[in-house]
Amino acid sequence: MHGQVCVTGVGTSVIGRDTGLSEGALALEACRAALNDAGLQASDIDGLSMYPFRNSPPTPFAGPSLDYVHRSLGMPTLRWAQATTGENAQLGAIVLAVNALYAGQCDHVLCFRAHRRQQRRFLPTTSDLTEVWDEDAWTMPYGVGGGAARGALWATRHMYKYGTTQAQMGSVCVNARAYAAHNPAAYWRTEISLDEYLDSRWVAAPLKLLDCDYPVDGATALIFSRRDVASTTRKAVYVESVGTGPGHSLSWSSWAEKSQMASRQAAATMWGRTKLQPSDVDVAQLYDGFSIFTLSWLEDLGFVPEGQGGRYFEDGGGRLDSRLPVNTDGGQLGMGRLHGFGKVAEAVRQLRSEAVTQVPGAEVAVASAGGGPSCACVLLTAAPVTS
Amino acid sequence: VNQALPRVMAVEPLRLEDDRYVAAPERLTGRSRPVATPETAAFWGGLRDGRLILQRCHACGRYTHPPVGGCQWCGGPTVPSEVPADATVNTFAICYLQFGEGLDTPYIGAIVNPLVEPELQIATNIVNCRISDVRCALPVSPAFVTDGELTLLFYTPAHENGDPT
Repeated sequence: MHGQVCVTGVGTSVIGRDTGLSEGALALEACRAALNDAGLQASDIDGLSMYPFRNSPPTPFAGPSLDYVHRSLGMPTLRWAQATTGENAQLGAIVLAVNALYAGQCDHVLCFRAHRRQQRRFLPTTSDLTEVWDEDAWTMPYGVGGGAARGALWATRHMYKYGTTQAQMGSVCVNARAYAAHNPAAYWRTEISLDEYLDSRWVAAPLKLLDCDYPVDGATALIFSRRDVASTTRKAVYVESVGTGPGHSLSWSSWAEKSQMASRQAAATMWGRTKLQPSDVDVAQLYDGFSIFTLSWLEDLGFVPEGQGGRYFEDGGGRLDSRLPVNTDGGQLGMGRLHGFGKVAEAVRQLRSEAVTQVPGAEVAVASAGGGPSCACVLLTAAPVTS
Repeated sequence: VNQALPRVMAVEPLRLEDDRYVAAPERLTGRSRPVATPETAAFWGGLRDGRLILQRCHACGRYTHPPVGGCQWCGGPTVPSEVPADATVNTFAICYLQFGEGLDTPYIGAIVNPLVEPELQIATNIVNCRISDVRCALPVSPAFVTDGELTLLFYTPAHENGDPT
């Protein structure tokens, strides 16, 4: 991408356990905030992109329909719109928007992810689990088809292969909650100690309750624009490179070596298309739907050697005074589960020097989302990278 | 940042102090019911007969699972083929909440690798053992449970079946 596409607006809705707002109302709050932030009108937007695809019957966690948001904002004719499934994780909506802009399909794309708190937190979002098809047919009868049970399969393997410890996973949570305590927008406003983590209950060992991100009502919206029209907007942040690719499998259960995720392929794709290197990155927003995923992202993006993610956090890595601060808004473990889009929003705020807990002089940021076979990442810069 | 050498460390295997015994379920009532397709009918029919049937490739001889429309390794044509069901534990999760319908907690969710094709992953529950007995690479043997129309393939530590591997 090399800076041909920018982020020109960012907005976040209220975050809460039970806001009383519909998923559509949450989406509109975030979208209007992003438009206001960008200094753009709804009539300037000619592209609309959301994750996920809204199935029927819908669940509140799926978010509103594209049509709902389009008509609610009073937008004119769109030139491009899509709702994506999860093959590039939650960021699929952003990956496709960036590609559409790069290809000249449109000028400004409004991307959003909005949801009410997932009620059945630990089950797949399928509405009826009586009969199951496809991958669910192989996993749901055994209770390993989704949620923390699925995440735990990956954590067990990471511990087995690399010697990752419970305390090391817990250090990811302690780090997130320390940032969240300083973030007025975060759901959790209290720090936790490692002992509190270790004393918390199992949900699916080796995952404890605090290893799981916190489900909230909330929405994030981001506006991506072609650089050649972004002069009408303010505060642009540049998309240097995007990383995608599941690698060898599209399946959670069939993935052969669960000590690694598709983050390895996504990182290789992203780094393969930029001259920047991991050592250039000033701040990282790494997916923490489960703490174990943060360790894999940290490793696969090249910030630490393979298998050393746990050691990094255990030694104080990730904090503001460390060599790479991680999840500086409190992450999904502390701020609440904004499902990947919050990662990009915080990266943008860091590069604008507008973050609540600001990494001084941050110029290069990574945001990543997803786990298992469903991963994507984006490399953002405060200024275009000259070739 | 990649120059740092990995530290030498002691591997700390996941061990839970929970030594409760988890028996194979007698009833499968309430569990999600897999819908058989033309591709998967041989597998589900095999389970009813206490047999593990995987798809074997005519071209390369390797096995594919779950069954699809060809060989996952080379794209060649496959046919149903009975194989020994013995496996080893790839990874597991001790579930203290229900992550599926109709399961009693705690239960041991697991992925096992069949010995005949160790790169394949089969989702299951480890049963008839103590929670603290389960670990990665543990040899396990099949335990078929039928309840009405549904048969599921569970696994149990190999020595529990009189095979002190």
